[in-house]
Amino acid sequence: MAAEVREAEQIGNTSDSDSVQTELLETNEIPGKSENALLVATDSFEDLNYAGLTNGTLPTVSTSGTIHSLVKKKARRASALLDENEAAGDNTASSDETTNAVDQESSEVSGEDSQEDHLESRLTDLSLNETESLPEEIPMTQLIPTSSDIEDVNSLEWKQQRRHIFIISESGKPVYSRHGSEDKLVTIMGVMQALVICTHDFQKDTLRSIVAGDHKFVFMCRDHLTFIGITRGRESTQQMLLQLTYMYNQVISVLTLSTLTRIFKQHRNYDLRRPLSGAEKFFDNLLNLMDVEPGLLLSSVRCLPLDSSVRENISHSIVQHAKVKDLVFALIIAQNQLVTLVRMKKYYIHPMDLHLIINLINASESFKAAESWTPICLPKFDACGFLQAHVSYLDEECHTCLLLLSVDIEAFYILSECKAKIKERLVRYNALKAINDSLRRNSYSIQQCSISDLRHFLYKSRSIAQYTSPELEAPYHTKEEQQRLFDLYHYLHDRIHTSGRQLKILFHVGPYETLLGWVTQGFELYAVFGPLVTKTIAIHAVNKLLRWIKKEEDRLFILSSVTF
Amino acid sequence: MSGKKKADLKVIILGDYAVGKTSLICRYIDGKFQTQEPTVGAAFFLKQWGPYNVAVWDTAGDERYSGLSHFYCRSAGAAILAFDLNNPKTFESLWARFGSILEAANEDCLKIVVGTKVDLLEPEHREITIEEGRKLSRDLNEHIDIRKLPHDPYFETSSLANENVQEVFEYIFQYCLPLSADQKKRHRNQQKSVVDLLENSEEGDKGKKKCC
Ligand SMILES: Nc1nc2c(ncn2[C@@H]2O[C@H](COP(=O)(O)OP(=O)(O)O)[C@@H](O)[C@H]2O)c(=O)[nH]1
Ligand SMILES: [Mg+2]
Repeated sequence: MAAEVREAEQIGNTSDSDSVQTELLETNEIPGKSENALLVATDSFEDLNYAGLTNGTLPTVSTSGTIHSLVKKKARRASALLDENEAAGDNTASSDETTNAVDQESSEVSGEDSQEDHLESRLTDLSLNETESLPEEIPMTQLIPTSSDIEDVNSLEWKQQRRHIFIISESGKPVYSRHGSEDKLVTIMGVMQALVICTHDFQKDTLRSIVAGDHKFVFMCRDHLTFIGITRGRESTQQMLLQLTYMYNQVISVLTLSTLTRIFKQHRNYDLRRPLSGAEKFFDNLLNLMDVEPGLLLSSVRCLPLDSSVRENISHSIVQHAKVKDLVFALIIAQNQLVTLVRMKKYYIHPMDLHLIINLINASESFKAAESWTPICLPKFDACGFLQAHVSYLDEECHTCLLLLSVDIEAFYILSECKAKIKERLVRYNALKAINDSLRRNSYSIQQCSISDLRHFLYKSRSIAQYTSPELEAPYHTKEEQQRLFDLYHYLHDRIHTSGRQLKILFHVGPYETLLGWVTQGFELYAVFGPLVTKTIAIHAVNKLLRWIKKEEDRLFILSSVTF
Repeated sequence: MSGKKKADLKVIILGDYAVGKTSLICRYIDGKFQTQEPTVGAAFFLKQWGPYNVAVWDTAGDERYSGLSHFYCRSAGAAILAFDLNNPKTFESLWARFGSILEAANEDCLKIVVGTKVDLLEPEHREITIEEGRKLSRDLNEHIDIRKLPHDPYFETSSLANENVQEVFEYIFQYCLPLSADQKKRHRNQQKSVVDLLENSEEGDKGKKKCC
């Protein structure tokens, strides 16, 4: 069916888009636009290119050191306690507004980064009694599968997986595989690492992707690791690259970049599965999340629809009761949706980091049992250090999760008190009930937009890095149909973003539905109509939709950011 | 549950991945056994013991959380060192991995060695003898006056069959925060009513998911 899909028509392109846009866009008020965004508004998708990925230097140097600089600030604050001159202390730190600024001195911080060092010393300890299970260079003879490998790799189930993701270390050691056990896949991983190395060594080139039949292989090398994605689906190379980047971020989130690089600097042959043991579920879950959560593709986050007064009340409760030193971010998440986010002045959260946080909660049933305290590295915030997350659910049913992210590993008990106060207030003001009501109402139905023939849409406001979309309803209520819808969105997204010239509007007639994709400076819109809709009708409908979103924007988006 | 009131005692539990640490704590605190998802980071429980508050820290055995160990070990009054009776490697880990971690705990920290999953143990396949367990528990507690203890700080438990679980915690609490006979009786009754309540409500609304 995919092959039958043909493009019927296409209007507008980069050159005449401005005129087209002003003609077609009937409103000049972009829904969900805000100057006061709480997330970093970047389109990570367009930032993705191989040039930045393959040269092995630290890609995050410019933003690293945030945590150290915060800790440093704390130390300074302590020493300045005597002279009480707080204003002076604050000024020294306000160097940069938008990026997570690095203090000048932060690179030479010594005493306070104990956490990471502990992990690292552990890792070196353990490496001593590690048994070398794999040869450093895989001899060619080993590339021929042995009988035990054949079972796994040749099983129909394994072959028929729609997508495979592998992580391999530079020396060819398996680190992760989405399907099948890494041990059984040693051979196939070796082959792939060999491909990467051969291309690099003999051709002096970088292997990016291979198309073989209906499979596409995409390769990404970063920090001594090779990430490989193989798909039979509709994802483009660029989109696969985005998925691999998420996997990379997940590795960093568990280990930190500094630990990762140190490990491989000391032991090129290190078996990374050891420090990652127990973390496999985060990788699995992240990949599952990518299949159902369009926010990862759009580099944006979905908010739980709430009356803005309720949301304000919630963020004020947090500001009031969690005004604690070293607390960088406080956020509430309910079923993968952002309820509120309060941040330290000067520090922003990147949507990719927020997805890792959502993934952490989503993948960890254990948080439902008790208040927890766990390290998490947010690679876009600071790839080289851990934040400490105080994680707790606020309701009996464990739907509403509060996260308090601090740089102070000792802050647990203080944050636990904050949590109790916040919870008390949210109960008193019925805010928890409002959250639960909203969750029960299931976001909103497409019918509420009252636009005939519009079946589903994704709308992203670029300035705030948030998106909204209605519930998945018939015909997209089965798993297969949802997958097909996602394929359509992937297709539309890819055509609009990466097809040579950047398109602004794409109208596409398929056998079962008509698609309209529209990208402007302010928003990205992907709309799915019934099959018989014409271009004029679609454009008209989309304008109506924009007006509806505009009307609902206070409920659907978080338009102003709250700081401590 | 809140950390508002400062706890009078901090108890931590250490041991390899999947030896049954979380199950042990949940059996004691919630009075039931259910499948536990692997612990992420460290988890905090608060427990009443007579007039006292006891903080209980459950931890994940994974290496990558070793950065946290300093935090939860510091000023711990007691540490449960758990191993799986059916897996000798987990017993060795108690020496190899957790001895050094515990240096951050109180000097007079009581260490209790607990062999778990005794229900799975077939006596003829036993690899760690009771005497080995007891010996380890004595060796770990060289610094405290062992005569003050009713017996060696060694237990074999089953969270599944509810065997010896209560005993572990009461042994610890009674040593660190002694209660009078009267207080203790009241505590037992309280504990019992909680468990009864739970069991009744469990029958009442099975559908409702209850977290520990
Ligand atoms: N048969 C039996 N299984 C147990 C017992 N305690 C724990 N388990 C099982 O052992 C596994 C790991 O338990 P868990 O409490 O998560 O271990 P932790 O990683 O040390 O916290 C789970 O599958 C439990 O159901 C026990 O007393 N008897
Ligand atoms: Mg556990």
